[in-house]
Amino acid sequence: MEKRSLSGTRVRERRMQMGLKQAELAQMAGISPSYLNLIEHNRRRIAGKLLGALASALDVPSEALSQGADARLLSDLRDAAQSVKGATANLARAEELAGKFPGWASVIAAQHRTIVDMDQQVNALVDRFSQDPFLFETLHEILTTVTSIRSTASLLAEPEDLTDVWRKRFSDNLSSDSQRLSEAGAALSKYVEADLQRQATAYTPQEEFNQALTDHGLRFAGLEDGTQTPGAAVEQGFGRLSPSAKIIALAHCQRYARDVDLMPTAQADALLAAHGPNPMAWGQAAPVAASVVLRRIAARADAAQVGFWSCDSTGTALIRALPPGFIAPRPQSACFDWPLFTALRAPSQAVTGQITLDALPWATEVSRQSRVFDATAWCEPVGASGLAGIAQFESTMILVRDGNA
Amino acid sequence: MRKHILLIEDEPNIVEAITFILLRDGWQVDAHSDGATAVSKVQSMAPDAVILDVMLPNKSGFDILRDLRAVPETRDLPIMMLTARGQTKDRERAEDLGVSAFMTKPFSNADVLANVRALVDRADG
Repeated sequence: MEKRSLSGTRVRERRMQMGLKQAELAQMAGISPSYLNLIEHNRRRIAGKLLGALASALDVPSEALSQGADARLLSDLRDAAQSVKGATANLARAEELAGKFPGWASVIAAQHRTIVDMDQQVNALVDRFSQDPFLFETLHEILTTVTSIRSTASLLAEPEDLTDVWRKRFSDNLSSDSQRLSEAGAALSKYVEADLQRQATAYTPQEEFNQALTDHGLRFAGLEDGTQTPGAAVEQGFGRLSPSAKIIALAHCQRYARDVDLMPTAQADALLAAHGPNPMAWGQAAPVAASVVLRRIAARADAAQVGFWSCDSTGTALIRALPPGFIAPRPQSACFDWPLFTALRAPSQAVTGQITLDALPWATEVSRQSRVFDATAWCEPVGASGLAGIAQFESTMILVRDGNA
Repeated sequence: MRKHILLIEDEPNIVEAITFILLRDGWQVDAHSDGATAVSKVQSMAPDAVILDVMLPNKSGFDILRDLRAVPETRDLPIMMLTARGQTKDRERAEDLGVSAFMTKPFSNADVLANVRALVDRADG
């Protein structure tokens, strides 16, 4: 239902973008204009050959019409509705909203994501205020100095006469405390400013690529259907990245293409249809490496339900594409006993577990329940090993939103 | 006879201001800045009331308060705590340890004076 309603809108948008009339597109796709009209108004499902014919006529991959950001958009809309206490939005009509007003729906979803990001930053700042030793010391210094200044200034301002000796002492104290306060304030300002810059900046090419991949999404349509080389996929998706980040992007796309060779799109989609995003079932049905299974699930499954997280031997994130609702406490923090990290200590063994995140401050009962995720992780050596060098390990985890929680 | 206040605080300018306020109001005031020796100082001076900062070098005000409440001689001594941390948990912790009054920095001179007077008056019954 969700895909049907949004697919029609997408067909209509693409047709108008190309300057085609309904009758023209209908003829190209081999259907009647009235039937196309029903499709465009989200009253008929498109799939199979018809989907292919429409996609071909509109010069886009089939996936661009049938899949993509739809599920994420709907999930964001629902989360947005649930995040407002007392809101009377009808969740069941989110699909209708996205279908009729895709632009406005995207704005609502984007704003909701911004609010969630800001919420994370506020929580991080609260953490910092309560746990950061520099901030604690600096705030204590400021409050202490302000206390002294307030008391001393009051004494100097009182109408009662002070002896010259006391007046001189209090004036000197006021001067020295003002200097201390000024220095503490400047140090605090500098620290906070640097912290905000740290949060907004990708320090490394890996982080730069990871941010771009999050924006792009884990699926590469051109690599799935073989119409693009890894190099072309990089230029299309990551053309603006730094040269170093592009190298990482190229390695990612090359591995993606190898994964597709090992498990083609049709096979992956058949497994998904048969077993859902269940890594164990996929592993039993397909004789490929476990890491390939996890990556293919992440690439083919619904991005609103499945997330992907990989890290190196130090636990440093390589790729973090988290599903909606999975909000890590801090940008670089996580719990050490999550399967991703447990797998680092047990290479070549599947590690499973359930991750339950604390409820968001504004969580409703529904969104609270949805913050439970089934996690499956696998760690294996990558690159040089043995006598050729020290083996590097990479751990990979997929997160599946627990619909039964 | 003037009532005796022991001020345990390590910030010299705050010590100077509070001391001046109390002296002008007719109190006898002594100051001490080291947390490690604060308990023995209280025991040797036997003041009528103590103003105790939380963040002190070598020993925290909470630990000093706990030690003072653990011995009969100072179990009921009026003690007012000063802290730059006004969080509820700090106040609750101080109350659990038996503090008599609690003030959060920054405070006004008038409030300090009023609280000290009330503290000693209450102790005098």
